[in-house]
Amino acid sequence: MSVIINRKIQDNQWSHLPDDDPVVSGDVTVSLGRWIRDRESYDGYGGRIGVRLSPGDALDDLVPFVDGLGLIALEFDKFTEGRGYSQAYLLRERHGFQGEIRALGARRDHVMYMERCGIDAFEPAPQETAGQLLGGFDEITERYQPSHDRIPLIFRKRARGTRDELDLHETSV
Amino acid sequence: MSELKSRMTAVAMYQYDDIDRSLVNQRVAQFRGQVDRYLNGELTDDEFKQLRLRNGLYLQRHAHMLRVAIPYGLLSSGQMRTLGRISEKYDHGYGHFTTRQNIQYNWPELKDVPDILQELADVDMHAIQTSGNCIRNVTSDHLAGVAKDEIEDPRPYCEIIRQWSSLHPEFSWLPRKFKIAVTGGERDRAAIKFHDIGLRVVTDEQREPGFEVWVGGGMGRTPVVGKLIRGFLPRRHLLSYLEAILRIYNLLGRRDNLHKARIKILVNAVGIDEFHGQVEREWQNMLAAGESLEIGPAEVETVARHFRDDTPPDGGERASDSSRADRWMLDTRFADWHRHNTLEHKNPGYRIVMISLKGPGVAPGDIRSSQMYAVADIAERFSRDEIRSTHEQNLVLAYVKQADIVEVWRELDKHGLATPNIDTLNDMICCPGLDFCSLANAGTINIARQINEKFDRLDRLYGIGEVKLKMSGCMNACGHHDVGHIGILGVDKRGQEWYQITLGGRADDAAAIGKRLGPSLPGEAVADAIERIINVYIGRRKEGERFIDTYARLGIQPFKDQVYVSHHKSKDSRQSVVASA
Ligand code: SF4
Repeated sequence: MSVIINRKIQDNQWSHLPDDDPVVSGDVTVSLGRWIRDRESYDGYGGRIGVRLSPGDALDDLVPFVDGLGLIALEFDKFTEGRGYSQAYLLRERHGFQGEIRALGARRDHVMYMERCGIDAFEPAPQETAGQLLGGFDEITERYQPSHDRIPLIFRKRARGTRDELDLHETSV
Repeated sequence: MSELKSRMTAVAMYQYDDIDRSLVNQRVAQFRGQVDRYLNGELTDDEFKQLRLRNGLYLQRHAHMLRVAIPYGLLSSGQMRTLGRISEKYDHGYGHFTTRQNIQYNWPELKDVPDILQELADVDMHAIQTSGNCIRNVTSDHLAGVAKDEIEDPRPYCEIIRQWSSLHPEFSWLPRKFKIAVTGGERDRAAIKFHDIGLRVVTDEQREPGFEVWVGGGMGRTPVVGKLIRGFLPRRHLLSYLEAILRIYNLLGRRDNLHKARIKILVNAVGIDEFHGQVEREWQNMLAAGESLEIGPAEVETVARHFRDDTPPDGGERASDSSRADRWMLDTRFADWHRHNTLEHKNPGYRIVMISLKGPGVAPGDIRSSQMYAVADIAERFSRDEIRSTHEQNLVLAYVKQADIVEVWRELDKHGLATPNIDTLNDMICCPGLDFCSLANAGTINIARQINEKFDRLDRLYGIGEVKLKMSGCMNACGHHDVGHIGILGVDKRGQEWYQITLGGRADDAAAIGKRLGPSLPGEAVADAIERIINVYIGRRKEGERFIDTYARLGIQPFKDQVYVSHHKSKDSRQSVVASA
């Protein structure tokens, strides 16, 4: 399967292990519950370990350990699921996580919002391909408000413009 | 260029710049693509539903319904003409103003909707976030900027919130819809305590501007009066505080049960103190991180300048000349209209004209395309090119010079827009009900008509005075029945349309939810019950007491007695009414 990482289509390196599959090899994500329980047993593991967050998971349990994680995967199991956007924002802005945040079950109509909140990798839901997802990023390029993307608040942008204009006006009078 | 244009026009409303314009155009193109993908089978019904709702498009009983945003109810004449043209070209020649100050079309074809949205975008309008589980169109006081009791014009803040919340990356997939209202008056005309967030513009002791913040109010299945979460929020922190509330709600609001997903349920479940604590912690974290959402005077000014009132307070030469109006007072039709449908303006040269959309035989809030054009023309000639829609489903011309008032009345009257019944029993709020809405339990328009017919004499209506009658076809409460002095709610009783009456609700500063009068009634008994309720009031009111005051003094019992005791007052038949209900 192909995924999108930083807007580029790439081969997927990660597998997402159900709780009863053993951690054997390669880059794997495990559920938050399993990770809390078995975390120490992964010391010395050959591949990378990532954690999967369900929409209802609280970040608090994960926060002390985010730095060491290879990936945090956010599950979007429904078209209308919205908690992952805040989870991503908080991981980036509040907890300083700089590694990959991946949306599982991403849809074309969501990736624009997801990316702005700090999600940088996207695994498409079964009904879409990575190529199709790419079409969703730039459908709307005008942005009014900052999120993790640090777009300046629209009124700030305009206030700067207005001030320049006012200055101009005043000097010309 | 757009700057030049905005200086030339007289409308004191927010003028789009290139960014705003490009955003709505991109949104139309995006939606056009989504419609194509749906018709090609790339999106399922459920997925497309979410996307179309966020562009105001519902699938209703007979057809699609498109809800167009009128931010805080403010329109220019040109925009009104476009609304009229759309109703002729794509609909059945009329539109319906809603209790959230928007307009709805009941008959558009799906294939036409992208074109309709494009025509709207061409006049700086859209249907973005008028539905769906996201931050909805912000509502406000329809007398903003012209009310005598105003502390500050709330509309710049509404516009700031509109832009901040438009396509918000983090809050576009909330547990449930989210409604924000802002008022700037001493009297709350925006029902802020019945919104997910209600804001009141205030100043603190140092005269610093800011807001009182209410949270978790709402009507519907679980009506709740909002709770004060912050007595004073400095103005510059408006957006960060809203964002903190929304973030907590987005993460913790219930998503497993549609009926328990509004923020009011979360606030009630954890308690306002705990909720407040969570919001404040999140907010402090945001502030500590350096506030990218701060709005200082320069930022506010980028929006506020659009709303500045540059008219001379006296309206200019001869504006306050009321001699013509005085002469016309001999015509009782004009005099009635002047007394009931016009209001004092903050500036003596002007009056505020209310246009009633509750004429006889018309569904409340409905307006024909010819009337839309007429209102546009009248506003252009006499009221600074500006029209407002109210949450009571009427329109307002906010800048009519005293000297022009007779002319404005004659023009409105010509088009059936001068029904002099503002704030009377017949000025009722009413949702579309079973005739159009797929969620309805019962019809509302037919009941409204029955009540209208029962109280068809103006002198009788005037004798009754102010009564806020509000009716919804189901407990979603789009007709705000919970806060009607008299509320009527359509219920389904074994497949039949029945009606539950409530009394004592109010949306003003003394916010209260109406109390059930008793068992629900069949449709044909509703108008009669209203008449009995009114008769109790007339019989027992004290000098100068409005209906709601008499109710507050007497309580519900005397009204109940009259409605449920049969004409013969026999115990048996009383029981039979109750039993059959
Ligand atoms: S109150 Fe119910 S019937 Fe009336 S418009 Fe709303 S959802 Fe439809």
